[in-house]
Amino acid sequence: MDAQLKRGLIDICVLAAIRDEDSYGYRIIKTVKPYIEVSESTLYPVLRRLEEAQMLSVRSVEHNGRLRKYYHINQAGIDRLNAFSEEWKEITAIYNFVTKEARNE
Amino acid sequence: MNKTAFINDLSDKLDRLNETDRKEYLEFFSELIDDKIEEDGVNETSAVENMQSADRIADAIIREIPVEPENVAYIEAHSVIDCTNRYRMDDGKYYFTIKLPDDVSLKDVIIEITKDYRGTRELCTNLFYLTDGDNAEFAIRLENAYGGFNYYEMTTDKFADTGMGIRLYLRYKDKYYMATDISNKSEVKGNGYWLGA
Repeated sequence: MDAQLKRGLIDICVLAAIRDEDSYGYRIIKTVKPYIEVSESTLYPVLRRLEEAQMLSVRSVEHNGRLRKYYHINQAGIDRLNAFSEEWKEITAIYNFVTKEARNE
Repeated sequence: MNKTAFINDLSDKLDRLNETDRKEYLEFFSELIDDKIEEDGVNETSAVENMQSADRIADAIIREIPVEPENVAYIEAHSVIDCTNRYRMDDGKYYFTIKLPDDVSLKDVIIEITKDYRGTRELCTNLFYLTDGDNAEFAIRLENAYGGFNYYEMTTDKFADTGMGIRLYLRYKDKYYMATDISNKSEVKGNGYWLGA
Protein backbone atom coordinates (compact mmCIF):
# COMPACT_ATOMS: atom_id res chain seq x y z
CA MET A 1 0.00 0.00 0.00
CA ASP A 2 1.21 3.50 -0.79
CA ALA A 3 2.98 4.93 2.30
CA GLN A 4 1.07 8.22 2.26
CA LEU A 5 -2.28 6.47 1.88
CA LYS A 6 -1.46 4.03 4.67
CA ARG A 7 -0.42 6.86 6.97
CA GLY A 8 -3.78 8.56 6.47
CA LEU A 9 -5.68 5.32 6.99
CA ILE A 10 -3.84 4.57 10.25
CA ASP A 11 -4.91 7.97 11.58
CA ILE A 12 -8.51 7.14 10.69
CA CYS A 13 -8.33 3.66 12.24
CA VAL A 14 -6.89 5.03 15.49
CA LEU A 15 -9.68 7.61 15.71
CA ALA A 16 -12.24 4.88 14.99
CA ALA A 17 -10.72 2.73 17.75
CA ILE A 18 -11.50 5.41 20.36
CA ARG A 19 -14.78 6.64 18.89
CA ASP A 20 -17.08 4.60 21.13
CA GLU A 21 -14.99 4.62 24.29
CA ASP A 22 -11.67 5.94 25.54
CA SER A 23 -8.84 3.51 25.08
CA TYR A 24 -5.12 3.04 25.82
CA GLY A 25 -2.08 2.22 23.70
CA TYR A 26 -1.99 -1.56 23.79
CA ARG A 27 -5.73 -1.93 23.37
CA ILE A 28 -5.71 0.47 20.40
CA ILE A 29 -3.05 -1.67 18.71
CA LYS A 30 -5.11 -4.83 19.30
CA THR A 31 -8.30 -3.14 18.05
CA VAL A 32 -6.74 -1.80 14.87
CA LYS A 33 -4.43 -4.70 13.96
CA PRO A 34 -7.06 -6.93 12.28
CA TYR A 35 -7.70 -4.14 9.77
CA ILE A 36 -4.33 -2.47 9.15
CA GLU A 37 -0.77 -3.25 10.15
CA VAL A 38 0.26 -0.98 13.00
CA SER A 39 3.33 -1.50 15.15
CA GLU A 40 4.24 -0.17 18.57
CA SER A 41 6.67 2.28 17.01
CA THR A 42 4.05 3.52 14.55
CA LEU A 43 1.31 4.16 17.07
CA TYR A 44 2.79 6.72 19.42
CA PRO A 45 3.83 9.23 16.72
CA VAL A 46 0.29 8.88 15.33
CA LEU A 47 -1.26 9.56 18.75
CA ARG A 48 0.98 12.60 19.20
CA ARG A 49 0.13 13.92 15.77
CA LEU A 50 -3.60 13.52 16.41
CA GLU A 51 -3.24 15.20 19.79
CA GLU A 52 -1.40 18.15 18.25
CA ALA A 53 -4.22 18.42 15.70
CA GLN A 54 -6.62 18.45 18.68
CA MET A 55 -8.45 15.41 17.32
CA LEU A 56 -7.92 13.58 20.60
CA SER A 57 -6.95 14.37 24.17
CA VAL A 58 -5.04 12.36 26.75
CA ARG A 59 -5.53 11.72 30.44
CA SER A 60 -3.59 9.56 32.86
CA VAL A 61 -5.54 7.11 35.02
CA GLU A 62 -4.17 5.06 37.89
CA HIS A 63 -4.36 1.37 37.04
CA ASN A 64 -3.01 -1.44 39.21
CA GLY A 65 -0.57 0.88 40.95
CA ARG A 66 0.73 2.49 37.77
CA LEU A 67 -0.40 5.23 35.40
CA ARG A 68 -2.02 4.36 32.12
CA LYS A 69 -2.75 6.95 29.43
CA TYR A 70 -6.26 6.97 27.97
CA TYR A 71 -7.03 8.63 24.66
CA HIS A 72 -10.34 10.41 24.13
CA ILE A 73 -11.69 11.49 20.74
CA ASN A 74 -12.52 15.20 20.41
CA GLN A 75 -15.05 16.87 18.14
CA ALA A 76 -12.33 17.53 15.54
CA GLY A 77 -11.62 13.79 15.49
CA ILE A 78 -15.29 12.95 15.04
CA ASP A 79 -15.47 15.51 12.23
CA ARG A 80 -12.46 13.86 10.60
CA LEU A 81 -14.15 10.44 10.73
CA ASN A 82 -17.33 11.87 9.23
CA ALA A 83 -15.36 13.58 6.47
CA PHE A 84 -13.57 10.30 5.77
CA SER A 85 -16.92 8.52 5.33
CA GLU A 86 -17.92 11.09 2.72
CA GLU A 87 -14.54 10.94 0.97
CA TRP A 88 -14.77 7.17 0.85
CA LYS A 89 -17.99 7.29 -1.13
CA GLU A 90 -16.12 9.21 -3.84
CA ILE A 91 -13.19 6.79 -3.69
CA THR A 92 -15.57 3.82 -3.99
CA ALA A 93 -17.15 5.40 -7.06
CA ILE A 94 -13.67 5.85 -8.60
CA TYR A 95 -12.76 2.26 -7.70
CA ASN A 96 -15.92 0.97 -9.38
CA PHE A 97 -15.15 3.04 -12.45
CA VAL A 98 -11.53 1.81 -12.63
CA THR A 99 -12.38 -1.87 -12.14
CA LYS A 100 -15.24 -1.63 -14.64
CA GLU A 101 -12.80 -0.20 -17.21
CA ALA A 102 -10.37 -3.01 -16.41
CA ARG A 103 -13.09 -5.64 -16.89
CA ASN A 104 -14.04 -4.19 -20.26
CA GLU A 105 -10.48 -4.31 -21.59
CA MET B 1 16.27 -8.79 28.14
CA ASN B 2 14.10 -7.41 30.92
CA LYS B 3 12.00 -4.26 30.82
CA THR B 4 14.56 -2.02 32.53
CA ALA B 5 17.33 -3.05 30.14
CA PHE B 6 15.04 -2.54 27.13
CA ILE B 7 13.93 0.92 28.27
CA ASN B 8 17.53 1.94 29.02
CA ASP B 9 18.59 0.73 25.58
CA LEU B 10 15.78 2.66 23.93
CA SER B 11 16.62 5.74 26.00
CA ASP B 12 20.22 5.65 24.70
CA LYS B 13 19.00 5.36 21.13
CA LEU B 14 16.67 8.33 21.56
CA ASP B 15 19.41 10.60 22.87
CA ARG B 16 18.84 13.16 20.13
CA LEU B 17 15.35 13.89 21.50
CA ASN B 18 14.85 16.54 24.11
CA GLU B 19 14.35 15.28 27.65
CA THR B 20 10.57 15.83 27.73
CA ASP B 21 9.93 13.99 24.47
CA ARG B 22 12.24 11.15 25.40
CA LYS B 23 10.50 10.72 28.76
CA GLU B 24 7.10 10.59 27.06
CA TYR B 25 8.19 7.94 24.58
CA LEU B 26 9.81 5.82 27.27
CA GLU B 27 6.65 6.03 29.41
CA PHE B 28 4.57 4.90 26.44
CA PHE B 29 6.73 1.84 25.79
CA SER B 30 6.97 1.04 29.49
CA GLU B 31 3.16 1.09 29.65
CA LEU B 32 2.94 -1.15 26.58
CA ILE B 33 5.17 -3.76 28.21
CA ASP B 34 3.16 -3.64 31.45
CA ASP B 35 -0.09 -4.09 29.48
CA LYS B 36 1.33 -7.02 27.50
CA ILE B 37 2.28 -8.72 30.75
CA GLU B 38 -1.11 -8.04 32.32
CA GLU B 39 -3.37 -8.84 29.36
CA ASP B 40 -1.45 -11.59 27.58
CA GLY B 41 -0.30 -13.35 30.76
CA VAL B 42 3.34 -13.42 29.63
CA ASN B 43 6.40 -12.75 31.75
CA GLU B 44 8.52 -9.62 31.45
CA THR B 45 11.15 -11.19 29.21
CA SER B 46 8.56 -12.55 26.78
CA ALA B 47 6.76 -9.20 26.68
CA VAL B 48 10.02 -7.48 25.75
CA GLU B 49 10.90 -10.15 23.18
CA ASN B 50 7.52 -9.62 21.52
CA MET B 51 8.25 -5.93 21.06
CA GLN B 52 10.03 -4.50 18.05
CA SER B 53 13.74 -3.99 18.65
CA ALA B 54 14.86 -0.76 20.32
CA ASP B 55 16.76 0.09 17.12
CA ARG B 56 13.66 -0.20 14.98
CA ILE B 57 11.48 1.73 17.40
CA ALA B 58 14.05 4.53 17.69
CA ASP B 59 14.35 4.76 13.89
CA ALA B 60 10.58 5.00 13.50
CA ILE B 61 10.34 7.70 16.17
CA ILE B 62 13.22 9.80 14.90
CA ARG B 63 11.97 9.84 11.33
CA GLU B 64 8.69 11.35 12.57
CA ILE B 65 10.44 14.27 14.16
CA PRO B 66 10.74 17.41 12.06
CA VAL B 67 14.37 17.99 11.20
CA GLU B 68 15.93 21.44 10.99
CA PRO B 69 19.57 22.51 10.95
CA GLU B 70 20.54 24.04 14.27
CA ASN B 71 20.65 27.80 14.42
CA VAL B 72 24.42 28.04 14.67
CA ALA B 73 27.26 29.18 12.46
CA TYR B 74 28.22 26.40 10.09
CA ILE B 75 31.67 26.16 8.56
CA GLU B 76 32.04 25.23 4.95
CA ALA B 77 34.99 22.81 4.96
CA HIS B 78 35.43 20.62 1.92
CA SER B 79 37.85 18.51 3.91
CA VAL B 80 34.95 17.32 6.10
CA ILE B 81 31.71 17.33 4.11
CA ASP B 82 31.34 18.15 0.46
CA CYS B 83 29.26 17.69 -2.63
CA THR B 84 32.04 16.70 -5.01
CA ASN B 85 29.96 16.29 -8.14
CA ARG B 86 26.52 17.39 -9.24
CA TYR B 87 24.84 17.34 -12.60
CA ARG B 88 21.59 16.82 -14.41
CA MET B 89 21.31 14.37 -17.29
CA ASP B 90 19.30 15.13 -20.40
CA ASP B 91 16.56 12.79 -19.23
CA GLY B 92 16.01 14.98 -16.16
CA LYS B 93 17.78 12.72 -13.66
CA TYR B 94 20.00 14.44 -11.07
CA TYR B 95 23.23 13.09 -9.62
CA PHE B 96 24.88 14.41 -6.46
CA THR B 97 28.06 12.89 -5.01
CA ILE B 98 28.25 13.46 -1.26
CA LYS B 99 31.52 13.08 0.61
CA LEU B 100 31.44 12.24 4.32
CA PRO B 101 34.03 11.07 6.87
CA ASP B 102 33.75 7.27 7.08
CA ASP B 103 32.86 7.37 10.77
CA VAL B 104 29.77 9.48 10.09
CA SER B 105 26.36 7.84 9.84
CA LEU B 106 23.84 9.02 7.26
CA LYS B 107 21.58 9.57 10.26
CA ASP B 108 23.86 12.41 11.38
CA VAL B 109 23.59 14.38 8.16
CA ILE B 110 20.76 16.78 7.46
CA ILE B 111 19.86 17.51 3.86
CA GLU B 112 17.74 20.38 2.61
CA ILE B 113 16.35 20.14 -0.88
CA THR B 114 14.87 22.80 -3.12
CA LYS B 115 12.51 22.00 -5.90
CA ASP B 116 13.49 24.88 -8.17
CA TYR B 117 16.17 27.46 -8.87
CA ARG B 118 14.51 30.05 -6.66
CA GLY B 119 15.26 28.12 -3.49
CA THR B 120 11.72 26.96 -2.67
CA ARG B 121 12.36 24.34 -0.04
CA GLU B 122 10.78 20.98 -0.75
CA LEU B 123 11.98 19.04 2.26
CA CYS B 124 14.49 18.81 5.09
CA THR B 125 15.35 15.45 6.59
CA ASN B 126 18.14 13.17 7.75
CA LEU B 127 20.03 11.79 4.77
CA PHE B 128 19.37 8.29 6.13
CA TYR B 129 15.61 8.70 5.80
CA LEU B 130 15.65 10.34 2.40
CA THR B 131 14.77 7.18 0.51
CA ASP B 132 11.94 6.01 2.75
CA GLY B 133 8.19 6.36 2.59
CA ASP B 134 7.12 9.68 1.14
CA ASN B 135 10.65 10.30 -0.14
CA ALA B 136 11.08 7.02 -1.97
CA GLU B 137 11.76 8.86 -5.23
CA PHE B 138 15.31 9.44 -4.04
CA ALA B 139 18.06 6.84 -4.09
CA ILE B 140 21.35 6.81 -2.22
CA ARG B 141 24.11 4.30 -2.63
CA LEU B 142 27.67 4.07 -1.40
CA GLU B 143 29.73 4.60 -4.53
CA ASN B 144 33.26 4.68 -3.21
CA ALA B 145 35.34 4.67 -0.02
CA TYR B 146 38.90 5.88 0.23
CA GLY B 147 41.16 8.19 2.22
CA GLY B 148 38.93 8.00 5.30
CA PHE B 149 35.86 9.17 3.39
CA ASN B 150 32.74 7.57 2.00
CA TYR B 151 31.34 8.87 -1.27
CA TYR B 152 27.58 8.45 -1.70
CA GLU B 153 25.71 8.99 -4.92
CA MET B 154 22.24 10.47 -4.54
CA THR B 155 19.96 10.35 -7.57
CA THR B 156 16.43 11.44 -8.30
CA ASP B 157 14.28 12.45 -11.23
CA LYS B 158 11.72 14.04 -8.96
CA PHE B 159 12.39 17.58 -10.21
CA ALA B 160 13.03 16.76 -13.85
CA ASP B 161 11.32 19.88 -15.14
CA THR B 162 12.10 22.43 -12.44
CA GLY B 163 15.75 22.24 -11.35
CA MET B 164 16.83 21.44 -7.82
CA GLY B 165 19.41 22.23 -5.20
CA ILE B 166 20.69 20.80 -1.93
CA ARG B 167 22.47 21.89 1.24
CA LEU B 168 24.08 19.47 3.67
CA TYR B 169 24.64 19.95 7.39
CA LEU B 170 26.75 17.89 9.76
CA ARG B 171 27.64 18.17 13.42
CA TYR B 172 30.97 16.36 13.66
CA LYS B 173 33.30 16.20 16.66
CA ASP B 174 31.42 19.07 18.31
CA LYS B 175 31.78 21.38 15.32
CA TYR B 176 29.17 22.34 12.74
CA TYR B 177 29.93 21.84 9.08
CA MET B 178 27.97 22.58 5.98
CA ALA B 179 28.29 21.80 2.30
CA THR B 180 27.19 24.84 0.37
CA ASP B 181 28.17 26.68 -2.75
CA ILE B 182 30.69 29.21 -1.49
CA SER B 183 34.43 29.24 -1.12
CA ASN B 184 36.17 26.80 1.19
CA LYS B 185 36.31 27.46 4.95
CA SER B 186 33.84 30.29 4.82
CA GLU B 187 31.60 30.70 7.80
CA VAL B 188 27.90 30.71 7.09
CA LYS B 189 25.23 31.64 9.56
CA GLY B 190 22.27 29.34 9.23
CA ASN B 191 22.41 28.77 5.52
CA GLY B 192 24.42 29.26 2.40
CA TYR B 193 23.88 29.03 -1.31
CA TRP B 194 22.17 26.01 -2.77
CA LEU B 195 24.23 23.40 -4.51
CA GLY B 196 22.20 23.46 -7.68
CA ALA B 197 22.14 21.05 -10.60
